[in-house]
Amino acid sequence: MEERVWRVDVAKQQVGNEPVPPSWQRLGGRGLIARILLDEVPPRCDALGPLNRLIWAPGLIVGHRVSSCDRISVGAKSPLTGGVKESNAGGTTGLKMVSLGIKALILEGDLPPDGWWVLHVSKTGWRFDPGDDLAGLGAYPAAEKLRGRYGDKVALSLIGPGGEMRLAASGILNLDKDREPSRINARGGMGAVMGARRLKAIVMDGEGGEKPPLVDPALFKAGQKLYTQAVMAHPQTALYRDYGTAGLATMTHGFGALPTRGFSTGQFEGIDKISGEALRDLMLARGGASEPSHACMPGCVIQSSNCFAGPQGETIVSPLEYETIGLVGSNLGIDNLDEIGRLNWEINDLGLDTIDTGAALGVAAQAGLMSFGDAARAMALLGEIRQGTPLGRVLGSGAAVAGRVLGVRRVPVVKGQAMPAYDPRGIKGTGVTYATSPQGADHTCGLTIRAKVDHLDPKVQADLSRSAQINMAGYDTLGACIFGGFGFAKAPGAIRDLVNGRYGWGVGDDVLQELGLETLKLERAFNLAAGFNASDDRIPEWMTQEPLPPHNSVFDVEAGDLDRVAGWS
Amino acid sequence: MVVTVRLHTTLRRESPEGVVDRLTLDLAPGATVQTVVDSLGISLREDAILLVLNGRIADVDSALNEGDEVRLIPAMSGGSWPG
Repeated sequence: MEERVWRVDVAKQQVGNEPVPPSWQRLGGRGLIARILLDEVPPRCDALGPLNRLIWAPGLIVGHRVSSCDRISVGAKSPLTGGVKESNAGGTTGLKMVSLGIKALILEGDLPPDGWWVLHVSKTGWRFDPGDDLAGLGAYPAAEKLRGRYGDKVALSLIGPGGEMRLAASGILNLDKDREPSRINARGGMGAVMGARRLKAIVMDGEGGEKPPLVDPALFKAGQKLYTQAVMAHPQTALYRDYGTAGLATMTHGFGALPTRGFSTGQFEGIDKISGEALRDLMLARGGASEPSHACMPGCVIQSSNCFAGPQGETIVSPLEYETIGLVGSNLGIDNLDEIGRLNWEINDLGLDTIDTGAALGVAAQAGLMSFGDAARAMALLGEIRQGTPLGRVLGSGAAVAGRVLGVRRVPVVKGQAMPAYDPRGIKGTGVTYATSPQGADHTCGLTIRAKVDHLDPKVQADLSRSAQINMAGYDTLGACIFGGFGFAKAPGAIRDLVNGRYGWGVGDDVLQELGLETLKLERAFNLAAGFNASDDRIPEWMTQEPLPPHNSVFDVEAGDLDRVAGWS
Repeated sequence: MVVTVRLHTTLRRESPEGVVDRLTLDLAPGATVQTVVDSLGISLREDAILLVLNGRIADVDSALNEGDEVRLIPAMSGGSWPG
């Protein structure tokens, strides 16, 4: 099936498709989004206005169930950062989209004045169905209703009440392999851009679809085998299968960089109650719906996800991940996994990002709107978001807006986006990534905690971050999961063979880095044209002045190093 | 001298009393991180285990002092370098 670019105009109730322009053909996922934004979106436009585009783009090697390599990227000019944005997720959306021959789906055109709509896409065509009965529904009941209407085999991308309210911390939710809307393009306010176009959901019916063609099937299979074997043999696979990302909690705590009570200290006295070890023990003891190992995409052999159930075995949330434990747990002084899990479910149902929402609640606590450790009050504040009260809308707009409105100076953001669960004063290489990534502070753009370096030495971080960022931008363009990376690192040539087997482009061993650097250069160009400058490539001033216990370190990587990385030359 | 050892994730051990993830060791003067690793019978596979002394990356030769905390951490995160 020939790949096409689909264009969706809700206001005109029109969907068209066209051949892929030559300069877009060799990009996918994050890289393709950056290219389309540069080609079609005025960088200084209103992110929630008619000139912005919302783009779904599966990665380059999506479609063949290569383990952990079927991710869907969604991007636009971000209403949160004002710059380029890509956020990727697992689930089934990428697979279905590719099976329908969709290289990119672009939501564009005027803003519809009213009503809510559901776009249904299938091999035989498209249609808009009224979605007014879904308006105001949380993501979980909305997904259930959509599954009832369209069947259990479709893929969905949908928004919750947060996206409907065009809140800047809102995301887009996709179904996992168990049909729950838990795979989320969470970061950067992509849900708000979808809500501005009054599209509640896209339904992708893959019936009659087919896997994308392989130019050299034998080469592709050889690359797949090499990579899969490397993943299976890697010690991190067993680690992630048993502990998931939650295993990072004790690690970050051990390094003194776990965000605690509004990023005021790097160790949490309640760590043993919210750690990955505690989570695993609890899941094994409780049984029922609990699953310590769970695949977020069909065919994944790592299975780092989980399902967390309560004492009676009923699901509390799936998955419960490290970044949420950090931002909604220790960052709020909450040391109870059940409470963290319930807050997580609520934030998901609102269709918001747990990182930015957790950081915003931390700001609210600093402003005296809740006490650290008071999970009931945190839940009540989430209730304000659901009701759409002024305070709720402030919190749902993310930590940066909350800090400005509530008069709080200690706000953990870069380019308006909240930091994930590594304080940059304790893991300074990750701080370089926060400062210099075109995406803003982001947990998927190049973490460095795993590197065998002194994380407090400011002089060794820039090159480390640059290399990690380039690799991650490459993986995001391929559609590969961050955790597939350790398999690829042990299987030299696998990416080359997968790309050449799929497309026959004759790429070399450096294809990952070439794709990554090209992507970062495109993103940088968009941000510069949008008005960003060196002052945007910095960690907040207070983190360069206020020491973080227990090491009492400040962020002190030199500005020259940050500018060198951020330039992507 | 007495040092505290923390065993992370897959290095935790089952025992009749339950899971052991922290212990104290009484070591002779001159002990290093390697002494801890040896006394626990852990094999360091390439750089798959991070050795952390008092919250900072260490190596096997790092000398220990009374009251130190040693963490043995199976390396994780989506970092993208070999290992």
